[in-house]
Amino acid sequence: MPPVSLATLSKGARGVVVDVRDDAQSLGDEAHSTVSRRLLELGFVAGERFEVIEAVWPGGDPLAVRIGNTTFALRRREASAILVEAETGKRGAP
Amino acid sequence: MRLALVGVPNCGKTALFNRLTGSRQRVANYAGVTVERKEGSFVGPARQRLYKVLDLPGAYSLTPTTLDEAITRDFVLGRLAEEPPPDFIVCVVDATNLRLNLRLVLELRDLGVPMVVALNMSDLAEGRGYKLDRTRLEAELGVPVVETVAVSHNGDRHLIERLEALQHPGAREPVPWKEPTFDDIQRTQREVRRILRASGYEEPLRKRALTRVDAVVMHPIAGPVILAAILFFVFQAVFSWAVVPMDIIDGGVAAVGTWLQNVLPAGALRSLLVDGVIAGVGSVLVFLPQILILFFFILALEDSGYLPRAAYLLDRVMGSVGLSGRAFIPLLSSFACAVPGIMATRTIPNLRDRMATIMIAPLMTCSARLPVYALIIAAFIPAHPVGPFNLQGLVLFILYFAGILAAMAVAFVLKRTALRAAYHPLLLELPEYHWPHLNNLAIGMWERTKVFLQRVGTIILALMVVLWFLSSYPAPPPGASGPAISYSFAGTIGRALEVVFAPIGFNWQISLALVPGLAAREVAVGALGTVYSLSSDGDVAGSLVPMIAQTWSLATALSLLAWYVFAPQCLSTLVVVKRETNSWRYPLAMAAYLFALAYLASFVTFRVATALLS
Amino acid sequence: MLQNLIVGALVLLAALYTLWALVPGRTRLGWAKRLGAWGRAPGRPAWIARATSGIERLAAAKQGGCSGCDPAAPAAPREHKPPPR
Repeated sequence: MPPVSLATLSKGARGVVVDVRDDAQSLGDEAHSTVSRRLLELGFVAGERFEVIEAVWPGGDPLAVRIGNTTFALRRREASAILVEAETGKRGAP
Repeated sequence: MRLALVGVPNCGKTALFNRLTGSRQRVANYAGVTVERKEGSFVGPARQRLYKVLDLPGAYSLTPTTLDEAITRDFVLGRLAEEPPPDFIVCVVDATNLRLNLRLVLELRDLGVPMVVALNMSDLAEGRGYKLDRTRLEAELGVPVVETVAVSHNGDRHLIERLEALQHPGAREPVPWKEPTFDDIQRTQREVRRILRASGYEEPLRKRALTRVDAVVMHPIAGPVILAAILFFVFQAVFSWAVVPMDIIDGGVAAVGTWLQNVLPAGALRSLLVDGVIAGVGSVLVFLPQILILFFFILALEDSGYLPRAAYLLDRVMGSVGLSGRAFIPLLSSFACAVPGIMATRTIPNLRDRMATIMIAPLMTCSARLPVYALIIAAFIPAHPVGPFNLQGLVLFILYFAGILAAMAVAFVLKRTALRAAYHPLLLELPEYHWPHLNNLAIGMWERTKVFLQRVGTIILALMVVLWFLSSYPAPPPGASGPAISYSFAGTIGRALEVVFAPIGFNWQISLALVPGLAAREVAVGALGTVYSLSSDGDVAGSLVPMIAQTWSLATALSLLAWYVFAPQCLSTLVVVKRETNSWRYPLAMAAYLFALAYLASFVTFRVATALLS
Repeated sequence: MLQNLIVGALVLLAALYTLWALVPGRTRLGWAKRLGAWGRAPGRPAWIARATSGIERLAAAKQGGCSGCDPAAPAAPREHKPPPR
């Protein structure tokens, strides 16, 4: 299955992170950290398992994503930098 | 020996700091509570060596996104002019979340600064079924790793033992540092995972119950409903739970007043004590229970990990006026007091976002406004049941809500004019739930009581004495009619101010009370207590509530409530805004817009109420 | 008469305290420094020197804004007394 962007997924989707694209989207004014750098630092790295545990509104922003042992809230625009391989249909798989 | 505590947000760093130094602060659960520079010290038991400990702001990385993280990086690298770099770094990691925490450890280790890793919450990790070979981890990392339990007595034992064994490393040069590249980060992350595997790290699946709690609390429909219900419940509780303790305090104050009235000879001293001190200070003191109840809920929500989830739920609402969900946490602290709220905005990465949040923070109803609201509500709003609610609680809820709505409107305007900003991302950790630590709650409430009593005993007391003097002298000319206060300095000042405030329905007593309210908003209540106590013809001053219920019109009362929704007169807030923004532009703009809004709102309220009620 | 004297002293004290508490920390420190220098001038009684330098120390310790602005502030930077060695 080809990798898709995390931003396209909805609640309940799970799978494995494949890559984080290097966008140049700045994350703050204090320094030049970008969204993708921070995503990497927070653990969105290749091979890590994820699960979209909630979306504030189906198809809306923000998403709550569980990665490793932590939950993060992020919007689809940030999530679009994350490429994942989603499992289909197998809810409840480890 | 100078130690610096470094760690990602929510790793329990502040709790460990408290454990080590015995200092008393709040321990909270959302990203970035540690905004202030906090230093403490302790003496090692074995060698009587003095340790100075600095609690650095939480940071996910040395490449900063917020002011907090920039401070931590600069401190660690020795870039801050007035701060020499630490002799040792204690890197605090959450043992239940090593995947997130360990990368920072590697980043710090590679700096070559001497360091110790504190494996915090190790009891929790063990209890929940995490597996880790500490000695293997130590060998893999190449730096000492010790287990700590910040929340329990002696939980820092291993850390202190290890620190005592260390030699002072001698003076250090500032560390050179190059920002890691994209690939560097990926490499470090792979290394983290390799080390974890090599150390036999295993984490259990998340508890089903917690997942289920999240599913409800963060549900698209149930979530906001729960949030609203929690807030509503809090405001109900502020009124209904506080009745008994407030009656007790009120009774005590009245008894002291009567007693003084009887034992002291008539004269200036008796008037000062009874009309100035007891009437003024007493009318503020009464509100302690309500303030404590409000803080109890705020602290409990902070401690439990619910707040970041509320921020998540509100991101869209906040986004619709151009703020990020992150602004929620500073704004919520502003319900306690705008000052810490404004300081907490340092965790907002975007500068214009931060400024907009600062500008609207004073619209959140701070606890100092509670006495004013409570006084007027008690005097004018009957305690009718309205469905399951009580009309008084409902009115209070509406007032808080009015502040929030006004804040949203102001933010909307600001973000489309002066503080327009490009899109800014959201990346917010939602930490695991914890039961609020009773000890922390007790410490937090005790701190609050102390601060409140300190304020009442110092600045409020002093202001009341000054006000009493201004209200009592000069004495009325012989043969004058009417209460003496109308001939005094205060009477004159009040009447001069009345010219400005009469169009919005304030009599001269209210106009006068607004002035000492500049020092602290709740002083206005005390000031009314003193002024009315001195104006009363009778010998024994009655309680303030029936007094204003008799003398004010309902329109005036509503107008004063509207005024206090905006209430521009808080010097402390303006001073802090000046300090945080480093310019006079923002505090002056803030004072001007708050005053304009307050006047406008009161004017409209007064006119409409007068028209409708007459 | 005695009553009036006591009341006068109390009011004066309260007025001074209010002023002290409400001026910005830096201004206050400036005043206190000048007062301290005045008190240390040669020829002043020892108790004046002690009192004025005490005020100076107090102002230095309470630097940073007004008193008790922040009922909920996460602890302003506070120097811990180093324990006796």
